[in-house]
Amino acid sequence: METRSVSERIFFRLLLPVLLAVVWQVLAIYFDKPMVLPRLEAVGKVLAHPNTKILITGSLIENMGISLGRVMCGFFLAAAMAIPLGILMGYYRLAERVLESTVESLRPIPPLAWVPLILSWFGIKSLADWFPELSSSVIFGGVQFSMIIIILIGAFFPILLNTIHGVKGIPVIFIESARTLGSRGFSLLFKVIVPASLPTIMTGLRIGLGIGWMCLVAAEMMPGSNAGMGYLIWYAYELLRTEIIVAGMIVIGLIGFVMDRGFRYVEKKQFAWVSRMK
Amino acid sequence: MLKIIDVTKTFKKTDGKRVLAISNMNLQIEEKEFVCIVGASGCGKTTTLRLLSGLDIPTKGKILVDGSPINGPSPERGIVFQEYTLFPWRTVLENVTFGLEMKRIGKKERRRTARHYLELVGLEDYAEAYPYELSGGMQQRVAIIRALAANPKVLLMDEPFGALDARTRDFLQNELIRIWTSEQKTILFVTHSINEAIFLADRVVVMKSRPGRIHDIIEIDLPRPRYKTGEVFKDYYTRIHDMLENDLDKEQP
Ligand SMILES: Nc1ncnc2c1ncn2[C@@H]1O[C@H](COP(=O)(O)OP(=O)(O)OP(=O)(O)O)[C@@H](O)[C@H]1O
Ligand SMILES: [Mg+2]
Repeated sequence: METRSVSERIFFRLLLPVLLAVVWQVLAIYFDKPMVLPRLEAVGKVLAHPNTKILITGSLIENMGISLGRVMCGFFLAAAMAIPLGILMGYYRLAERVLESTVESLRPIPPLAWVPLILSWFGIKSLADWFPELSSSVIFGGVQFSMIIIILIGAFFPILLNTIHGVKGIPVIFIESARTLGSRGFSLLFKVIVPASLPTIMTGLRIGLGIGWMCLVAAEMMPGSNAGMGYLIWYAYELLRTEIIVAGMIVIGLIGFVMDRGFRYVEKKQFAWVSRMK
Repeated sequence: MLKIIDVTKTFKKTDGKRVLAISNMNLQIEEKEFVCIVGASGCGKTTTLRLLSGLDIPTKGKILVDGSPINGPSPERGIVFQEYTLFPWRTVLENVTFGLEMKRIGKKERRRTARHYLELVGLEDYAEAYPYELSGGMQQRVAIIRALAANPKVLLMDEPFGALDARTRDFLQNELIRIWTSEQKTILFVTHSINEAIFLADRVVVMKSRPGRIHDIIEIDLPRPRYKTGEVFKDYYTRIHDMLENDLDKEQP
């Protein structure tokens, strides 16, 4: 039972982070080597000026925007492919038989292992090469094709597997009830199959977005990259600006956290019925 | 209006063996009739209902509705299962309007019809609730009006009150008779309870198991409302009870 007061709970939540920060700061002052262990105020200074140009890469906000733009492109593409495919594979045995072995043999390949192949196929072409009107956009101008594909691969499988799982988990009795009420074809798909599996699909989307985000940051460290959070911390490393690395890592973590919480919030709000089903 | 002609249904079990669920069944149900099916567990009652609904197809024989063979499930034949089958992602009202949505009836009219049925079973205050907020008896009432709202000619009910306590059950039996009288439906109702069958039915079909088949059909010649304590009622009970008793004795030595 949770009987503690709000302030007490906040205290326990913040206890460890504050302690770690203090230890960090003490060590940083003691060793006095900012290239290895930057002081907190140096990190804080970077975080406090998100609009100031960092090194030559643009501001923190710009790099965030670029990274988010990339991850969203890849994520929406992944969802647009994985959800229909997952429904097909979950609902039709034949589709599953035909596709399962291929999916299962591609799935264990880590998204980053695709990088060399994808780079050799698409090079460093960006969306702007295909849609010139985008080139003036800060966020979408720098969206490289190869990065989108890497995020797509990372996000694709969790979404696909959860969708299949969700569709297969629909109690037959719901589908039969719907059919005896006159539902078939598209109405069965959109009024029963999709809503019944939506909670599981949402879980897949949440996991997919998280993995896509991790893949992106790694992909931005690859050759050809010239902006984004991953690039920023990699570039800062080359200049031994550790405070920028740490600030960048904090931002990356926070964005991932906020995205995950956002999804969880929607899941809890929209799908209250799931937890109540026996 | 419903005709089961020489119907046999075999299932293939997972171990490859065949089960004869129903063997050579013949039954005719008239329009607006209330027919109950009783019988030991596993004698093919659910199978019969599923065949009539069109969810399963007979292995042999045919099933005619108004003279024409059935072709898959249809909103003409609504079904209420024993399990709770309301769509959990829809509110009570949205569950009741589901069949009307499938018929592409306008939103206003859908809601009006649904509210009419909710009032019929005294659940108008729960229109915006979700199924998990309802008791078992309430959910089953919604399942019944969900089937009714699609305006079927035939209502197939598979032990819909099986999981309910005795008082709720009595209450819903009365309600069902009231609905049947006002809505003029043909009802085929499966139950384990002999009392329930005699209380509800114009005719009681007694089935026997292994293989599932019709043993006897008993006309219940009692005026409604019926009272479960009456003399004639008890005579019917003894008759049907004895038939089922024999079935158990023979099959489970
Ligand atoms: N899908 C199926 N696969 C294999 N066997 C089945 C299947 N459905 C029913 N059976 C078998 O058919 C027979 C009749 O089953 P049915 O469900 O119709 O019985 P029931 O009369 O409804 O029983 P209960 O009163 O317990 O619900 C049983 O022996 C059962 O094992
Ligand atoms: Mg049954």
